[in-house]
Amino acid sequence: MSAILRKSSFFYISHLCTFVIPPLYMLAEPRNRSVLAVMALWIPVWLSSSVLWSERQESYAFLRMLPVTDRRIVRTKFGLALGFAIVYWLVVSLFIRAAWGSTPQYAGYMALTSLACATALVLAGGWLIVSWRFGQTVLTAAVMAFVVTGILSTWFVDVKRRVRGGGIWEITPEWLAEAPWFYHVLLFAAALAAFYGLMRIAIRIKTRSET
Amino acid sequence: MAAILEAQGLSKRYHGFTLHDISLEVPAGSVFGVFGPTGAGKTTLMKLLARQIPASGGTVRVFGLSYDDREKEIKNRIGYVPQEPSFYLERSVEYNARFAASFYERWDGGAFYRMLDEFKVGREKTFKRLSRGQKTLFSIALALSHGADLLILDEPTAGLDVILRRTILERLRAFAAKEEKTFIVASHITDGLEDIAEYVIFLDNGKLVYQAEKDELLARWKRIHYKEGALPPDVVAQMTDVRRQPFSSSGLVRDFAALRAALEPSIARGEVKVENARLDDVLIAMHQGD
Repeated sequence: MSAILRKSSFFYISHLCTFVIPPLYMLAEPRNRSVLAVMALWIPVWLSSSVLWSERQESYAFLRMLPVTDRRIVRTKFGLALGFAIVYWLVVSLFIRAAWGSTPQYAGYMALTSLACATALVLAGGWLIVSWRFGQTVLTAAVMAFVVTGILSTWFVDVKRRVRGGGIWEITPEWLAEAPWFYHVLLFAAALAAFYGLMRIAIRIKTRSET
Repeated sequence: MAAILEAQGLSKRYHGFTLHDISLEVPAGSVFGVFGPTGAGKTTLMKLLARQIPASGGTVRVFGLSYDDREKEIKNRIGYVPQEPSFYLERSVEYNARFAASFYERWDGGAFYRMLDEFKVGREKTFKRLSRGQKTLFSIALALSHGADLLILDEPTAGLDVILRRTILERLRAFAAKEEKTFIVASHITDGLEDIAEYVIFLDNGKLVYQAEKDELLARWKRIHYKEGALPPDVVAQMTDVRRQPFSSSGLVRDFAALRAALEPSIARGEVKVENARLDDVLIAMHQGD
């Protein structure tokens, strides 16, 4: 089992490494903190991309030859996505705390990070189902479309912010931005419930799939 | 002899092809040959028996266990050699081997690497650089290196040159003779695997058309060589694959015992010779609708 984890985690880790870019950028431009906030929006994009690349490198025909069940494979893949969603959230949260911890915008940025992470989690489960139900070609097209849309949206939000002023945190729904901390817990609980439901569906799909 | 694998009503539906209602029992310690023409459903059946694809209907029990609740345990004890080996193509042979080894409880790395060296498959090569034959050799080495009690081999000698084919056949023969292993081998007849099979099934167009011990099959099916006019017309009428030649014609009979009495006088006079039918002749006769 750890062999699947080791192999599949490569792309999640390599995507995680790109999270050092914004802090490095900040070394060059210490005043431009907003680049850190963009990282929150990266979470769904990077998690989706990690799922895509790890799926493209997978050989399920090989795995089926080995003494491991489809159920176990699905749980491992979902577990990996969950684990790295949490790691991405932790890393971004740390940066945001370092940059805005003592400012009024902090709650908004944290809410945005939590929302992005919850969305990323559900998306990752969805992408795995797409891969096993429709194949890697459809997954590639769908994730690439999402990634391009995500990058363009991030760019658009950033440009809008520069023109109008204000922070990226403003795109966070008001009810969440101003909500007490346990709303974040509820948000994660809802995302986890959806993620678990997707995993159950994925197990059914994977065990019935041809590869 | 106890069955090591039992399939009941096994079926698989694809768009344009259906494997129909296959039931079979594979005795422990035997070599079980699955034969049939291209497109008969051999690969589909092998995949179903090794749980590489889900069945549309029916059940498979291996070692008395069901894949539904004991898949890991069963797969630890079977070795499967696919017709089209699929591994991590961008990774090295060594990586693929180590990856697979981490899943098996009884992995014998020494035996595996000895075989790899014997087959001259480079460990550092990336998998995509291996020839089809080398990929098959890797699969065979993998299947023979984790103490499997049942080997499911889908045309294991396809794509190999004559020398490697013979090496593999010898290896499989030695393995079958020395240890209490069971083999299920899908094959096109003529690759030599029919010699080692003790039980045979013939598939044609997705259906199981014949299932028997090979000796029993060969006792029933005979090729009769005769001089024209030496046999009663009703005997000749029961023959298939009749090859007429000026001095000696021949034909296949599917139930030699039933015709023996009618043939005895001709055999005694030396006008008729009887020999075992070849499996490929029998397969062709069955394929042509005998």
